[in-house]
Amino acid sequence: MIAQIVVSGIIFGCIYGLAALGMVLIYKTSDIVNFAQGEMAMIITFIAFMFISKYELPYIASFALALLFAALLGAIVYILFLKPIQSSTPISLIVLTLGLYMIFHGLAGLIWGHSPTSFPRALEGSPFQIGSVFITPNEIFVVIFTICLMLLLFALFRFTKIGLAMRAAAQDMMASELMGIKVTKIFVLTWALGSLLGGVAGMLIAPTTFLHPSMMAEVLIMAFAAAVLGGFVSMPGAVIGGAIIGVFGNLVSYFVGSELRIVFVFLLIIVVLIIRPTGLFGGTQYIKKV
Amino acid sequence: MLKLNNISFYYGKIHALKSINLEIPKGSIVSLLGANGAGKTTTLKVISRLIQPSEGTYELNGDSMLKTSSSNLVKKGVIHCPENRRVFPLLSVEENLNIGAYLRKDKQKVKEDYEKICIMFPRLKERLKQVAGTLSGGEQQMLAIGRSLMGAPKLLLLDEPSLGLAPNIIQEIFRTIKKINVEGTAILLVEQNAHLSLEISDYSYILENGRVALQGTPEELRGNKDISKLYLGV
Repeated sequence: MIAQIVVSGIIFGCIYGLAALGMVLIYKTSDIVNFAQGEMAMIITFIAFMFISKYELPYIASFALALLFAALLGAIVYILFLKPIQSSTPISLIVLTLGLYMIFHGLAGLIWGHSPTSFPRALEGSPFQIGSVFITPNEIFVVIFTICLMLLLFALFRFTKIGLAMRAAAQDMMASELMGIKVTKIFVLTWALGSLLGGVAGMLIAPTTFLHPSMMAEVLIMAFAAAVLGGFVSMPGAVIGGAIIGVFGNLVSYFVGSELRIVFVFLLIIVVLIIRPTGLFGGTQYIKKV
Repeated sequence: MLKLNNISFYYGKIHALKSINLEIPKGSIVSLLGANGAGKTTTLKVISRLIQPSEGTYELNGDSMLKTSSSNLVKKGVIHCPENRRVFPLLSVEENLNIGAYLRKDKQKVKEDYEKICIMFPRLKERLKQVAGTLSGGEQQMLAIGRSLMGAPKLLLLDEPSLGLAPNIIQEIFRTIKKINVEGTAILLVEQNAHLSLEISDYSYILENGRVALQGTPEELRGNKDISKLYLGV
Protein backbone atom coordinates (compact mmCIF):
# COMPACT_ATOMS: atom_id res chain seq x y z
CA MET A 1 0.00 0.00 0.00
CA ILE A 2 2.75 2.42 0.98
CA ALA A 3 4.61 1.63 -2.26
CA GLN A 4 1.49 2.45 -4.27
CA ILE A 5 1.11 5.77 -2.45
CA VAL A 6 4.73 6.66 -3.07
CA VAL A 7 4.57 5.80 -6.76
CA SER A 8 1.42 7.80 -7.41
CA GLY A 9 2.95 10.62 -5.37
CA ILE A 10 5.93 10.65 -7.70
CA ILE A 11 3.63 10.85 -10.70
CA PHE A 12 1.77 13.86 -9.30
CA GLY A 13 5.13 15.27 -8.28
CA CYS A 14 6.36 15.11 -11.86
CA ILE A 15 3.52 17.33 -12.97
CA TYR A 16 4.16 19.79 -10.15
CA GLY A 17 7.79 19.65 -11.19
CA LEU A 18 6.96 20.43 -14.82
CA ALA A 19 4.92 23.47 -13.84
CA ALA A 20 7.72 24.48 -11.46
CA LEU A 21 10.34 24.08 -14.22
CA GLY A 22 8.55 26.69 -16.31
CA MET A 23 8.46 29.10 -13.40
CA VAL A 24 12.10 28.50 -12.50
CA LEU A 25 13.17 29.03 -16.11
CA ILE A 26 11.32 32.33 -16.32
CA TYR A 27 12.54 33.47 -12.91
CA LYS A 28 16.16 32.49 -13.52
CA THR A 29 16.34 34.31 -16.82
CA SER A 30 14.03 37.30 -16.69
CA ASP A 31 13.89 37.69 -12.89
CA ILE A 32 10.10 37.67 -12.87
CA VAL A 33 7.96 35.35 -10.76
CA ASN A 34 5.10 34.39 -13.03
CA PHE A 35 1.98 33.86 -10.94
CA ALA A 36 -0.06 33.53 -14.13
CA GLN A 37 1.84 30.36 -15.09
CA GLY A 38 -0.97 28.05 -13.99
CA GLU A 39 -3.74 30.00 -15.69
CA MET A 40 -1.73 30.15 -18.89
CA ALA A 41 -1.39 26.36 -18.67
CA MET A 42 -5.15 26.06 -18.18
CA ILE A 43 -5.87 28.14 -21.29
CA ILE A 44 -3.41 26.04 -23.29
CA THR A 45 -5.19 22.91 -22.11
CA PHE A 46 -8.54 24.35 -23.24
CA ILE A 47 -6.99 25.05 -26.65
CA ALA A 48 -5.77 21.46 -26.84
CA PHE A 49 -9.27 20.29 -25.96
CA MET A 50 -10.68 22.46 -28.72
CA PHE A 51 -8.44 20.72 -31.25
CA ILE A 52 -9.42 17.30 -29.89
CA SER A 53 -13.18 17.75 -29.55
CA LYS A 54 -14.11 20.40 -32.09
CA TYR A 55 -11.68 19.60 -34.92
CA GLU A 56 -11.40 15.94 -33.96
CA LEU A 57 -7.64 15.88 -34.39
CA PRO A 58 -5.63 13.00 -32.89
CA TYR A 59 -4.20 13.52 -29.40
CA ILE A 60 -0.59 13.96 -30.55
CA ALA A 61 -1.47 16.58 -33.16
CA SER A 62 -3.62 18.49 -30.68
CA PHE A 63 -0.85 18.27 -28.10
CA ALA A 64 1.71 19.65 -30.56
CA LEU A 65 -0.57 22.43 -31.80
CA ALA A 66 -1.39 23.40 -28.23
CA LEU A 67 2.33 23.64 -27.46
CA LEU A 68 2.80 25.89 -30.46
CA PHE A 69 0.01 28.05 -29.08
CA ALA A 70 1.70 27.91 -25.66
CA ALA A 71 4.97 29.25 -27.03
CA LEU A 72 3.13 32.06 -28.80
CA LEU A 73 1.11 32.87 -25.69
CA GLY A 74 4.27 33.08 -23.57
CA ALA A 75 6.01 35.32 -26.09
CA ILE A 76 2.99 37.62 -26.43
CA VAL A 77 2.46 37.89 -22.67
CA TYR A 78 6.09 38.91 -22.25
CA ILE A 79 6.15 41.44 -25.11
CA LEU A 80 2.76 42.96 -24.35
CA PHE A 81 2.75 43.07 -20.55
CA LEU A 82 6.13 42.38 -18.98
CA LYS A 83 8.62 44.06 -21.29
CA PRO A 84 7.20 47.57 -20.94
CA ILE A 85 7.54 47.48 -17.15
CA GLN A 86 10.49 45.16 -16.71
CA SER A 87 12.69 47.85 -15.21
CA SER A 88 9.99 48.53 -12.62
CA THR A 89 10.09 47.33 -9.01
CA PRO A 90 9.68 43.61 -8.20
CA ILE A 91 6.41 44.35 -6.43
CA SER A 92 4.91 45.92 -9.58
CA LEU A 93 5.93 42.86 -11.55
CA ILE A 94 4.30 40.59 -8.98
CA VAL A 95 1.10 42.62 -9.06
CA LEU A 96 1.15 42.50 -12.85
CA THR A 97 1.46 38.72 -13.08
CA LEU A 98 -1.19 38.36 -10.35
CA GLY A 99 -3.39 40.63 -12.46
CA LEU A 100 -2.80 38.41 -15.46
CA TYR A 101 -3.80 35.42 -13.32
CA MET A 102 -7.17 37.07 -12.61
CA ILE A 103 -7.67 38.13 -16.23
CA PHE A 104 -6.91 34.70 -17.67
CA HIS A 105 -9.07 33.00 -15.08
CA GLY A 106 -11.99 35.34 -15.72
CA LEU A 107 -11.68 35.12 -19.50
CA ALA A 108 -11.55 31.32 -19.45
CA GLY A 109 -14.71 31.19 -17.33
CA LEU A 110 -16.45 33.57 -19.70
CA ILE A 111 -15.48 31.65 -22.82
CA TRP A 112 -15.64 28.03 -21.70
CA GLY A 113 -17.81 28.09 -18.57
CA HIS A 114 -17.03 26.54 -15.21
CA SER A 115 -18.37 23.00 -15.49
CA PRO A 116 -15.61 20.37 -15.49
CA THR A 117 -15.10 18.35 -18.67
CA SER A 118 -13.10 15.17 -19.00
CA PHE A 119 -9.81 15.32 -20.86
CA PRO A 120 -8.13 12.32 -22.53
CA ARG A 121 -4.91 10.75 -21.31
CA ALA A 122 -1.75 10.78 -23.40
CA LEU A 123 -1.67 6.97 -23.43
CA GLU A 124 -4.64 4.65 -22.97
CA GLY A 125 -4.24 1.17 -21.61
CA SER A 126 -5.09 -0.64 -18.43
CA PRO A 127 -2.76 -0.67 -15.43
CA PHE A 128 -0.30 -3.48 -14.98
CA GLN A 129 1.35 -4.74 -11.85
CA ILE A 130 4.98 -4.36 -10.84
CA GLY A 131 5.50 -6.02 -7.49
CA SER A 132 2.71 -4.70 -5.30
CA VAL A 133 2.25 -1.52 -7.35
CA PHE A 134 -0.30 -0.90 -10.08
CA ILE A 135 0.78 1.54 -12.73
CA THR A 136 -0.74 2.66 -16.04
CA PRO A 137 1.17 3.24 -19.30
CA ASN A 138 0.11 6.88 -19.10
CA GLU A 139 1.72 7.27 -15.69
CA ILE A 140 4.99 5.83 -16.95
CA PHE A 141 4.78 8.23 -19.86
CA VAL A 142 4.34 11.20 -17.47
CA VAL A 143 7.43 10.26 -15.47
CA ILE A 144 9.67 9.62 -18.48
CA PHE A 145 8.47 12.70 -20.31
CA THR A 146 9.13 14.91 -17.26
CA ILE A 147 12.63 13.55 -16.76
CA CYS A 148 13.44 13.99 -20.47
CA LEU A 149 12.19 17.58 -20.46
CA MET A 150 14.19 18.36 -17.33
CA LEU A 151 17.39 16.89 -18.78
CA LEU A 152 16.82 18.68 -22.06
CA LEU A 153 16.39 22.02 -20.31
CA PHE A 154 19.35 21.37 -18.07
CA ALA A 155 21.51 20.66 -21.12
CA LEU A 156 20.14 23.68 -22.96
CA PHE A 157 21.00 25.95 -20.07
CA ARG A 158 24.34 24.41 -19.30
CA PHE A 159 25.91 23.49 -22.62
CA THR A 160 24.48 25.61 -25.44
CA LYS A 161 25.28 29.10 -26.59
CA ILE A 162 21.68 30.18 -26.19
CA GLY A 163 21.68 28.80 -22.64
CA LEU A 164 24.82 30.77 -21.86
CA ALA A 165 23.13 33.89 -23.23
CA MET A 166 20.09 33.18 -21.03
CA ARG A 167 22.27 32.93 -17.93
CA ALA A 168 24.18 36.05 -18.89
CA ALA A 169 21.03 38.08 -19.57
CA ALA A 170 19.73 37.10 -16.15
CA GLN A 171 22.84 38.49 -14.47
CA ASP A 172 23.49 41.70 -16.35
CA MET A 173 21.24 42.93 -19.14
CA MET A 174 23.46 45.81 -20.20
CA ALA A 175 26.67 43.81 -20.30
CA SER A 176 24.82 41.12 -22.28
CA GLU A 177 23.67 43.71 -24.78
CA LEU A 178 27.31 44.80 -25.12
CA MET A 179 28.31 41.22 -25.97
CA GLY A 180 25.92 41.43 -28.91
CA ILE A 181 23.20 39.36 -27.21
CA LYS A 182 19.71 40.50 -28.16
CA VAL A 183 18.34 40.45 -24.64
CA THR A 184 14.69 40.98 -25.60
CA LYS A 185 14.86 38.00 -27.96
CA ILE A 186 16.30 35.86 -25.17
CA PHE A 187 13.50 36.84 -22.80
CA VAL A 188 10.84 36.19 -25.44
CA LEU A 189 12.31 32.74 -25.99
CA THR A 190 12.43 32.09 -22.25
CA TRP A 191 8.78 33.02 -21.82
CA ALA A 192 7.82 30.88 -24.79
CA LEU A 193 9.63 27.90 -23.26
CA GLY A 194 8.27 28.56 -19.77
CA SER A 195 4.73 28.76 -21.07
CA LEU A 196 5.26 25.58 -23.06
CA LEU A 197 6.36 23.69 -19.95
CA GLY A 198 3.30 24.95 -18.11
CA GLY A 199 1.16 23.78 -21.01
CA VAL A 200 2.62 20.28 -20.84
CA ALA A 201 1.85 20.18 -17.11
CA GLY A 202 -1.71 21.36 -17.77
CA MET A 203 -2.42 18.76 -20.43
CA LEU A 204 -0.94 15.95 -18.35
CA ILE A 205 -2.83 16.81 -15.17
CA ALA A 206 -6.17 17.56 -16.89
CA PRO A 207 -7.29 13.89 -17.06
CA THR A 208 -7.06 13.81 -13.23
CA THR A 209 -8.37 17.26 -12.29
CA PHE A 210 -10.83 17.53 -15.21
CA LEU A 211 -10.79 20.51 -17.50
CA HIS A 212 -12.17 23.72 -15.95
CA PRO A 213 -10.88 27.25 -15.24
CA SER A 214 -9.78 26.39 -11.69
CA MET A 215 -8.02 23.16 -12.62
CA MET A 216 -4.54 24.61 -12.01
CA ALA A 217 -5.26 26.30 -8.68
CA GLU A 218 -3.79 23.55 -6.54
CA VAL A 219 -1.14 22.58 -9.11
CA LEU A 220 0.14 26.16 -9.12
CA ILE A 221 0.46 26.22 -5.34
CA MET A 222 2.21 22.85 -5.35
CA ALA A 223 4.48 23.93 -8.21
CA PHE A 224 5.40 27.02 -6.25
CA ALA A 225 6.17 24.89 -3.27
CA ALA A 226 8.26 22.56 -5.44
CA ALA A 227 10.20 25.47 -6.91
CA VAL A 228 10.87 26.99 -3.49
CA LEU A 229 11.87 23.63 -2.06
CA GLY A 230 14.31 23.19 -4.96
CA GLY A 231 15.79 26.63 -4.40
CA PHE A 232 13.90 28.42 -7.23
CA VAL A 233 16.98 28.45 -9.46
CA SER A 234 17.73 24.78 -9.96
CA MET A 235 16.03 22.76 -12.73
CA PRO A 236 16.67 19.32 -11.22
CA GLY A 237 15.75 20.96 -7.91
CA ALA A 238 12.31 21.89 -9.25
CA VAL A 239 11.56 18.34 -10.38
CA ILE A 240 12.99 16.70 -7.26
CA GLY A 241 11.13 19.26 -5.16
CA GLY A 242 7.97 18.31 -7.06
CA ALA A 243 8.52 14.62 -6.42
CA ILE A 244 9.13 15.18 -2.69
CA ILE A 245 5.97 17.24 -2.40
CA GLY A 246 3.95 14.75 -4.41
CA VAL A 247 5.02 11.81 -2.27
CA PHE A 248 4.79 13.70 1.02
CA GLY A 249 1.35 15.06 0.12
CA ASN A 250 0.09 11.59 -0.74
CA LEU A 251 1.42 10.14 2.51
CA VAL A 252 -0.28 12.91 4.47
CA SER A 253 -3.55 12.27 2.64
CA TYR A 254 -3.40 8.61 3.55
CA PHE A 255 -2.25 8.83 7.16
CA VAL A 256 -3.72 12.16 8.28
CA GLY A 257 -6.43 13.15 5.84
CA SER A 258 -6.58 14.74 2.42
CA GLU A 259 -7.97 18.04 3.73
CA LEU A 260 -4.71 18.61 5.61
CA ARG A 261 -2.45 17.83 2.64
CA ILE A 262 -1.62 21.41 1.67
CA VAL A 263 -1.21 22.42 5.31
CA PHE A 264 1.40 19.72 5.84
CA VAL A 265 3.15 20.44 2.55
CA PHE A 266 3.66 24.02 3.61
CA LEU A 267 4.75 22.98 7.08
CA LEU A 268 7.40 20.86 5.36
CA ILE A 269 8.51 23.82 3.29
CA ILE A 270 8.72 26.07 6.33
CA VAL A 271 10.84 23.49 8.12
CA VAL A 272 13.12 23.07 5.10
CA LEU A 273 13.52 26.83 4.69
CA ILE A 274 14.37 27.27 8.35
CA ILE A 275 17.08 24.63 8.07
CA ARG A 276 18.24 25.63 4.58
CA PRO A 277 17.04 29.15 3.69
CA THR A 278 18.14 28.77 0.06
CA GLY A 279 16.11 25.61 -0.52
CA LEU A 280 17.45 22.13 -1.08
CA PHE A 281 19.37 22.93 -4.25
CA GLY A 282 19.80 26.68 -4.02
CA GLY A 283 22.49 28.65 -2.32
CA THR A 284 26.19 28.76 -2.68
CA GLN A 285 26.63 26.07 -5.28
CA TYR A 286 23.58 26.92 -7.32
CA ILE A 287 25.62 27.88 -10.32
CA LYS A 288 26.92 24.34 -10.52
CA LYS A 289 23.42 22.96 -10.31
CA VAL A 290 22.28 25.25 -13.13
CA MET B 1 37.75 54.99 -38.63
CA LEU B 2 35.14 56.49 -36.30
CA LYS B 3 33.74 59.98 -36.39
CA LEU B 4 31.23 61.76 -34.14
CA ASN B 5 29.92 65.07 -35.36
CA ASN B 6 27.85 67.50 -33.30
CA ILE B 7 26.47 64.74 -31.10
CA SER B 8 23.97 65.88 -28.47
CA PHE B 9 22.17 63.81 -25.91
CA TYR B 10 19.65 64.58 -23.18
CA TYR B 11 18.89 62.58 -20.04
CA GLY B 12 15.38 63.92 -19.56
CA LYS B 13 15.96 67.64 -19.32
CA ILE B 14 19.67 67.40 -18.58
CA HIS B 15 21.79 68.24 -21.58
CA ALA B 16 24.44 65.56 -21.10
CA LEU B 17 26.32 65.89 -24.37
CA LYS B 18 26.62 69.21 -26.16
CA SER B 19 27.77 69.02 -29.78
CA ILE B 20 30.54 66.52 -29.28
CA ASN B 21 33.02 66.15 -32.13
CA LEU B 22 35.38 63.26 -31.85
CA GLU B 23 37.50 61.24 -34.21
CA ILE B 24 39.34 57.97 -33.79
CA PRO B 25 41.88 57.20 -36.52
CA LYS B 26 42.59 53.58 -37.39
CA GLY B 27 45.04 51.87 -35.06
CA SER B 28 45.34 54.75 -32.61
CA ILE B 29 44.74 55.19 -28.89
CA VAL B 30 42.46 58.11 -28.21
CA SER B 31 41.69 59.03 -24.64
CA LEU B 32 38.62 60.77 -23.33
CA LEU B 33 39.39 62.50 -20.05
CA GLY B 34 37.46 64.57 -17.58
CA ALA B 35 35.79 64.63 -14.19
CA ASN B 36 32.81 62.59 -13.01
CA GLY B 37 29.65 63.55 -14.86
CA ALA B 38 31.48 65.23 -17.73
CA GLY B 39 29.80 62.92 -20.25
CA LYS B 40 32.53 60.37 -20.88
CA THR B 41 30.45 57.24 -20.32
CA THR B 42 27.49 58.80 -22.13
CA THR B 43 29.73 59.32 -25.17
CA LEU B 44 30.72 55.65 -25.06
CA LYS B 45 27.08 54.63 -24.83
CA VAL B 46 26.31 56.66 -27.92
CA ILE B 47 29.15 54.93 -29.75
CA SER B 48 28.06 51.43 -28.73
CA ARG B 49 24.44 52.31 -29.60
CA LEU B 50 23.01 51.79 -26.15
CA ILE B 51 21.48 55.25 -26.46
CA GLN B 52 20.29 57.31 -29.42
CA PRO B 53 21.65 60.86 -29.68
CA SER B 54 19.12 63.62 -30.32
CA GLU B 55 21.35 65.37 -32.82
CA GLY B 56 24.50 64.84 -34.80
CA THR B 57 26.07 62.23 -37.04
CA TYR B 58 28.01 59.10 -36.22
CA GLU B 59 30.08 57.38 -38.87
CA LEU B 60 32.10 54.20 -38.81
CA ASN B 61 34.37 53.74 -41.83
CA GLY B 62 32.21 56.22 -43.71
CA ASP B 63 28.82 54.60 -42.96
CA SER B 64 26.25 56.17 -40.66
CA MET B 65 25.65 54.06 -37.56
CA LEU B 66 22.61 55.90 -36.23
CA LYS B 67 20.21 53.15 -37.32
CA THR B 68 22.45 50.19 -36.47
CA SER B 69 21.67 47.96 -33.46
CA SER B 70 24.20 47.52 -30.67
CA SER B 71 24.41 43.86 -31.61
CA ASN B 72 25.38 44.78 -35.17
CA LEU B 73 28.03 47.16 -33.93
CA VAL B 74 29.61 44.30 -31.99
CA LYS B 75 29.63 42.36 -35.25
CA LYS B 76 31.43 45.23 -36.93
CA GLY B 77 34.11 45.00 -34.26
CA VAL B 78 33.26 47.98 -32.06
CA ILE B 79 33.33 46.51 -28.59
CA HIS B 80 32.48 48.30 -25.39
CA CYS B 81 34.12 47.16 -22.17
CA PRO B 82 31.85 48.79 -19.61
CA GLU B 83 32.58 50.74 -16.46
CA ASN B 84 32.86 48.69 -13.25
CA ARG B 85 33.96 45.68 -15.32
CA ARG B 86 30.45 44.14 -15.37
CA VAL B 87 31.72 40.59 -15.67
CA PHE B 88 28.96 38.00 -15.25
CA PRO B 89 29.49 37.14 -11.59
CA LEU B 90 27.88 33.70 -11.62
CA LEU B 91 29.47 32.48 -14.83
CA SER B 92 32.90 30.90 -14.77
CA VAL B 93 35.91 32.74 -16.15
CA GLU B 94 35.82 30.43 -19.15
CA GLU B 95 32.13 31.11 -19.79
CA ASN B 96 32.70 34.84 -19.46
CA LEU B 97 35.38 34.62 -22.14
CA ASN B 98 33.22 32.45 -24.38
CA ILE B 99 30.32 34.83 -24.23
CA GLY B 100 32.59 37.56 -25.56
CA ALA B 101 32.65 35.61 -28.81
CA TYR B 102 28.86 35.15 -28.81
CA LEU B 103 28.32 36.53 -32.31
CA ARG B 104 31.41 35.08 -33.97
CA LYS B 105 31.08 32.19 -36.39
CA ASP B 106 34.80 31.67 -37.13
CA LYS B 107 35.33 28.89 -34.59
CA GLN B 108 38.97 28.26 -35.41
CA LYS B 109 39.89 31.93 -34.97
CA VAL B 110 37.89 32.11 -31.75
CA LYS B 111 39.92 29.23 -30.39
CA GLU B 112 43.16 30.95 -31.33
CA ASP B 113 42.04 34.18 -29.69
CA TYR B 114 41.10 32.24 -26.59
CA GLU B 115 44.59 30.74 -26.38
CA LYS B 116 46.13 34.16 -26.92
CA ILE B 117 44.08 35.73 -24.14
CA CYS B 118 45.05 32.93 -21.78
CA ILE B 119 48.70 33.74 -22.48
CA MET B 120 48.09 37.47 -22.14
CA PHE B 121 46.39 36.99 -18.75
CA PRO B 122 48.03 34.00 -17.06
CA ARG B 123 46.10 34.72 -13.89
CA LEU B 124 42.83 34.13 -15.70
CA LYS B 125 44.15 30.89 -17.09
CA GLU B 126 44.73 29.62 -13.56
CA ARG B 127 41.11 30.39 -12.72
CA LEU B 128 39.17 29.26 -15.79
CA LYS B 129 36.66 27.17 -13.82
CA GLN B 130 36.26 29.70 -11.04
CA VAL B 131 33.11 31.82 -10.85
CA ALA B 132 33.92 35.38 -11.94
CA GLY B 133 32.29 36.97 -8.89
CA THR B 134 35.02 35.51 -6.68
CA LEU B 135 37.89 37.18 -8.58
CA SER B 136 39.72 40.22 -7.24
CA GLY B 137 39.06 43.63 -8.76
CA GLY B 138 42.18 43.52 -10.90
CA GLU B 139 41.41 40.02 -12.13
CA GLN B 140 37.85 41.06 -12.97
CA GLN B 141 39.19 43.97 -15.00
CA MET B 142 41.50 41.61 -16.86
CA LEU B 143 38.56 39.29 -17.46
CA ALA B 144 36.44 42.19 -18.73
CA ILE B 145 39.19 43.15 -21.17
CA GLY B 146 39.77 39.52 -22.13
CA ARG B 147 36.04 39.07 -22.72
CA SER B 148 36.02 42.12 -25.01
CA LEU B 149 39.04 40.79 -26.90
CA MET B 150 37.13 37.56 -27.55
CA GLY B 151 34.88 39.62 -29.81
CA ALA B 152 37.89 40.38 -32.06
CA PRO B 153 37.58 44.16 -31.71
CA LYS B 154 38.78 46.56 -34.35
CA LEU B 155 37.92 49.36 -31.97
CA LEU B 156 37.89 48.72 -28.24
CA LEU B 157 36.02 51.14 -25.99
CA LEU B 158 37.44 50.96 -22.48
CA ASP B 159 35.52 52.68 -19.71
CA GLU B 160 37.71 53.48 -16.68
CA PRO B 161 39.79 50.33 -16.56
CA SER B 162 41.78 51.71 -13.63
CA LEU B 163 38.76 52.30 -11.40
CA GLY B 164 39.35 51.14 -7.84
CA LEU B 165 42.54 49.20 -8.56
CA ALA B 166 45.92 49.23 -6.81
CA PRO B 167 48.68 51.26 -8.53
CA ASN B 168 50.76 48.27 -9.58
CA ILE B 169 47.69 46.59 -11.10
CA ILE B 170 46.85 49.82 -12.93
CA GLN B 171 50.35 49.83 -14.42
CA GLU B 172 49.85 46.27 -15.57
CA ILE B 173 46.46 47.06 -17.12
CA PHE B 174 47.86 50.05 -19.00
CA ARG B 175 50.76 48.00 -20.33
CA THR B 176 48.22 45.48 -21.58
CA ILE B 177 46.17 48.22 -23.24
CA LYS B 178 49.24 49.46 -25.06
CA LYS B 179 50.04 45.92 -26.15
CA ILE B 180 46.52 45.36 -27.51
CA ASN B 181 46.91 48.58 -29.47
CA VAL B 182 50.30 47.64 -30.87
CA GLU B 183 48.75 44.44 -32.18
CA GLY B 184 46.40 46.52 -34.30
CA THR B 185 43.27 47.40 -32.32
CA ALA B 186 42.23 51.05 -32.09
CA ILE B 187 41.30 52.08 -28.56
CA LEU B 188 39.09 54.73 -27.07
CA LEU B 189 40.13 55.01 -23.46
CA VAL B 190 37.86 56.75 -20.99
CA GLU B 191 39.77 57.63 -17.84
CA GLN B 192 40.01 59.83 -14.80
CA ASN B 193 43.65 58.92 -14.46
CA ALA B 194 44.86 61.59 -16.91
CA HIS B 195 48.59 61.14 -16.39
CA LEU B 196 48.79 57.49 -17.26
CA SER B 197 46.32 57.92 -20.10
CA LEU B 198 48.35 60.66 -21.73
CA GLU B 199 51.40 58.46 -21.55
CA ILE B 200 49.90 55.85 -23.86
CA SER B 201 47.54 58.04 -25.96
CA ASP B 202 48.09 59.39 -29.45
CA TYR B 203 45.43 62.03 -28.99
CA SER B 204 43.21 63.21 -26.14
CA TYR B 205 39.90 64.94 -25.62
CA ILE B 206 39.06 66.57 -22.34
CA LEU B 207 35.34 66.76 -21.59
CA GLU B 208 33.78 69.27 -19.26
CA ASN B 209 30.03 69.48 -18.61
CA GLY B 210 29.19 67.57 -21.75
CA ARG B 211 31.42 69.66 -24.00
CA VAL B 212 34.84 69.03 -25.49
CA ALA B 213 36.79 71.64 -23.51
CA LEU B 214 40.19 70.78 -24.94
CA GLN B 215 41.83 68.43 -27.34
CA GLY B 216 45.29 67.73 -28.60
CA THR B 217 48.25 65.42 -28.57
CA PRO B 218 49.67 64.54 -25.16
CA GLU B 219 52.59 66.93 -25.78
CA GLU B 220 50.28 69.82 -26.56
CA LEU B 221 48.15 69.17 -23.49
CA ARG B 222 51.12 68.75 -21.17
CA GLY B 223 52.83 71.82 -22.61
CA ASN B 224 50.02 74.11 -21.61
CA LYS B 225 50.58 75.13 -17.99
CA ASP B 226 46.97 76.18 -17.27
CA ILE B 227 45.65 72.97 -18.68
CA SER B 228 48.01 70.90 -16.63
CA LYS B 229 46.89 72.68 -13.51
CA LEU B 230 43.17 72.50 -14.22
CA TYR B 231 42.74 69.09 -15.72
CA LEU B 232 45.78 67.05 -15.01
CA GLY B 233 46.22 68.08 -11.39
CA VAL B 234 49.92 68.83 -11.73
